[in-house]
Amino acid sequence: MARQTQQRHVRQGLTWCLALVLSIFWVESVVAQDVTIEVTGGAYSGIPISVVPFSINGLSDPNHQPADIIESNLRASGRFDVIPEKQHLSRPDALSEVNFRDWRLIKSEALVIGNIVNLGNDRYEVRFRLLDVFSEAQLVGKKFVVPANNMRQAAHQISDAIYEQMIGRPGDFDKAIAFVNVRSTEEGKTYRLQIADSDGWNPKTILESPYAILSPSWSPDASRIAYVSLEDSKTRIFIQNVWTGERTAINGFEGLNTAPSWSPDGSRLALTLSRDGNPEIYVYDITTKKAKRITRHTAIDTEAAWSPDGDTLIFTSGRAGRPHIYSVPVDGGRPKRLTRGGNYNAGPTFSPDGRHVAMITNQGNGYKIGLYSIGDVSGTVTELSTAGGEEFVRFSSSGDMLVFATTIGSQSRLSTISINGQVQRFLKYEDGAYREPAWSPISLNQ
Amino acid sequence: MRLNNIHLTLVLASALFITACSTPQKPAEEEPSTAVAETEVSVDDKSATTEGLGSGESGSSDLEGGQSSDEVTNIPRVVYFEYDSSDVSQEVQSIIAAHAVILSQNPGLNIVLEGHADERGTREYNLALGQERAQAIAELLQINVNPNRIQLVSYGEEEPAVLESNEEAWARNRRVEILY
Repeated sequence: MARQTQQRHVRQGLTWCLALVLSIFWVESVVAQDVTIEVTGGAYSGIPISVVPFSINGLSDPNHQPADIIESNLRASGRFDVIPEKQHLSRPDALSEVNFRDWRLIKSEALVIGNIVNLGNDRYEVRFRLLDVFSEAQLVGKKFVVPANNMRQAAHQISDAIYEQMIGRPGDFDKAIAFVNVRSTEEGKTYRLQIADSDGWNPKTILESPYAILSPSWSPDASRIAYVSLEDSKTRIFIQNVWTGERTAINGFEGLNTAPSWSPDGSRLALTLSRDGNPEIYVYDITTKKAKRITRHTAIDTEAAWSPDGDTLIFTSGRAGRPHIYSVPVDGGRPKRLTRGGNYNAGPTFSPDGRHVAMITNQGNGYKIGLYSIGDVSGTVTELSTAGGEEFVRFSSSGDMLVFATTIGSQSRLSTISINGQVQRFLKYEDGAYREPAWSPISLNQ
Repeated sequence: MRLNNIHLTLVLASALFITACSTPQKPAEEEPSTAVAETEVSVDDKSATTEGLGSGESGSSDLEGGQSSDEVTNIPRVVYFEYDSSDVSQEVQSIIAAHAVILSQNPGLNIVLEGHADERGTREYNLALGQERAQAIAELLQINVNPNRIQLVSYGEEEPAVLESNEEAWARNRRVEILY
């Protein structure tokens, strides 16, 4: 069975109890990449779509088959029921070859076809069409000319075009994910702040350090990342330019300088300082370099995150004896407790539509991804993820997926999960431990 | 309430201290002016290097850091805490009181309090928890020691003493290390 599952896509109608079996598989084959797993069986509700392998002229690297990348992406969103290739009755690569009846028979509502033509000098023309099977009409079609090493990027852009056409909002696939990779040798640990494609491919290091790096937070224009570094025997917050690598330390406050979170207008950071004796939430103005205190309590207040409209901060507080999620107006006011379920709720993050808060929750069976609905006075937190060793969760900007760190065996890896809880996909794994993922708010390829 | 306990435990601590000093100890005068906050111990060949995605330019900066601790006493240098708590136990209060006695008699010594947490929960909350623990110890020391001599650092769950995931390891990792 293990051999059988060592394929790029593990697609099974999984029940929750099978998760353990799969955990064992993942430990054994850590080089397996881009593993997609559907975690619910019967009640699957995505749009049935077929992606025909693109015909390829003179390009043999299987990593470059756009259909594989597009399929994996669409499936990971939880919004599509991708019909496996083995059910396809024909393999068209151009509009003239499409027999729509073949696709109606397998109940595919939409069809993606495409082809790649080698233009020479490492230039490839990639064409795709998204077709509506019932109206027999083209919904969208595009052409890209790319070098071979940008083929994955083209596939992500195609995924986003399909996603936007079918779902009605921009997709998350041609965006980046920032995270921390930690590798240990006899000489010590090496921490790397890396930026990769949304499926974990093409990681690039923007900071390498022997000291712990935590809590990357993107600026709204995705040009800068704020993070915590434990260098110099201090907790310090840096802002680093993604493109030039230049960075500046924003702090200099006594004590803790942690948990930066970029405001939606890009002008401020919410952060945690202990300069007044105990960890409290502050809002730091990047231009004036002044920090305004938001919370006042003898318990821990930390991990602030902004509402999408920039009016409200949510944060973790230990003021009720156990960590729970609270909200407070940015302009000041009384914090209001949001969560009541579970005995540990921390690390909150707002959904882009402002209707939900995701967090790390422990309801007695491990640290999982939890979801709270704004306005729910019962304070209920619904568990979303499976393994029980989760930490650090952030939304994609469509709000349809979350990215988080999870422990498989003794290994910390990154995964996404669809907001409906149906599909989990592991990001590409290379080596070491992976932590603290954050999805870029916009594409870096614009 | 906690303060009253301190005066009580100071008596105990003094006794502990006398016991400690009955064996020959190496006092701290060898490095009287060491300011631990700005210790010259540099972390050789350790530096953070940034890189950009754009031109491939990179910059680097050398960092200073580290710790120094002479073996001044055999009073425990590490004190432990309960899960998700910075409450100081009676036993820890006695230990801290003993350190306070030594520190008040050695005004040249500066102190670094390193707060740590176990791995459970979020890394950021654990950084705050480590800070709270270091702060709780600082508040006890400050009864007898000038706060300017005390530096707090939180490492959260990033520097565990025991690299395992079980109750015993977690208990050993929820700690403050007292360095002077």
